[in-house]
Amino acid sequence: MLCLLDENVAHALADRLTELGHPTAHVARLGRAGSLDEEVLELARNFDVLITFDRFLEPKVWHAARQAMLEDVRIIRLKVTASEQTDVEAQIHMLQRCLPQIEARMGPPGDARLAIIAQQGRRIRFRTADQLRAMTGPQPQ
Amino acid sequence: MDEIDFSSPFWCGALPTRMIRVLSGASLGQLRGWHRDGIVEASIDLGGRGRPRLYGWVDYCKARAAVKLLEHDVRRAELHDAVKRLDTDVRGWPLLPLTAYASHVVAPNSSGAGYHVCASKAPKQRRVVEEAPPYLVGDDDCGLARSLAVVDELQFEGSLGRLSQFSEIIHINPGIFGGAPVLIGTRLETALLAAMCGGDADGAAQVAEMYRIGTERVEAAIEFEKALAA
Repeated sequence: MLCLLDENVAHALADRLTELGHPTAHVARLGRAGSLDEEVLELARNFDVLITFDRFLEPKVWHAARQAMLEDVRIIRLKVTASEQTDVEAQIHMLQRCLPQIEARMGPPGDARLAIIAQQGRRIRFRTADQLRAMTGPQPQ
Repeated sequence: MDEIDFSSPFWCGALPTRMIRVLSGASLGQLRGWHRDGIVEASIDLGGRGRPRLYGWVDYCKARAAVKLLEHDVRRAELHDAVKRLDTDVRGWPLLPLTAYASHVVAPNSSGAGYHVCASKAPKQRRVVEEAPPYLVGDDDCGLARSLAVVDELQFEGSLGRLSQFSEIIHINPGIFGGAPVLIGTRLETALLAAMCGGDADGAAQVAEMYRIGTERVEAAIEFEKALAA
C-alpha cells in the first residue's frame, strides 16, 4: 500500500512503514506543510491511503472527506491517547496488527473507504462507501 | 447533510466554547446567554451532555465583535438589538469595519452604498444613511478620534484574539482541523503538541525531534495551551 501520512503523524512512522514494505510519504516531507484540510485530501488521491489523527470535527471538512472517500480516497484514522501519540513503536504495532485486515478491506477488491483504529489496534471499524453515503450527520467520534 | 449549503462561511471552523471564551474575552455566562438568545449561536454543534458547543468561524467573529461593542459604550440591552439588526440588515457584518459610538453601532452596507445605523433605544433611529454619520467623519470632539473601529481592532489582534501575544508562532485557520490552533506554517495542533509533552517543557525536545521543528515552537504551544486553560 502506498501511504500518505498527515502532518500530525510523526515522521518516524513514515520510515518504519517504508521498512515494512509500505512506501510512505509524509505531508511535510512533500513540502506541503501547513496545507489546508481540503488540499491534503486532494493530495491523498495520489496514494492508496491517508493516515491521520484528524477527527473531522468540522462539518465542512467531514463533508469534503466523505465526498473524497466516495470517489477514490481511503482514510485510516488513528484514534490514540496523548501518550500513544508520542510512542511511534506503539503506533507501528497498532498498524501492523491491523494492516492485514486493512489491506483485505481497503485494497483494490475491498469496499471499505474509512478505517478507524482504536484501543491500540484491538478495535477497528470500517465504513464502506454505502455506509458513508447513508450518513446524514456529522462524523461519528 | 447534503441539503446544507457548505459554501456558506457559517459552515467553516468548529471551535469549542472553551476556546471562544478565552480568545474573545466573553464569559461563559455571556456565551450561554447569547447562544440562547440567538445573538451568537453555536451554529456547528449545539452541544449536549459532555459535548461542548461548537462555533463556526463567523460565530467566533461575532462573539469577538460583541465583546468589543460592550467595551465601547454599547450597553448590554442595546447589544442584543444591534446584533439582531445587523444580522437582518447587513450581510457578513462581522467582517465589515463596524464602528461603535455611544449608543450607536454603525456598519457600512455590504454593497458600499451607505451606512446602517443601529440605535436600539429609539427604534425609529434605525436607518440607512447614504453618507457617513457626522460622528464618523467630523473633526470635532465627536469625530473619528472618539469613534472606535471595532473590526479594525479585531484585525489588529489577529486570529488569536486575547492571546495575540502568541500570534507570531501560532494561528487559527478555519481550513485546518476545523480552526484548531496550529503552529504557523504547519498542521500541528498546539493541543496535540502540549498533550504529547504532558504539558511539560521537558518533553518538548523529544516532540520537536519527532516533528522536526524547533523546540521553542513546542514550548510556545505548551504556553499557549496553558493560557487557553487558565
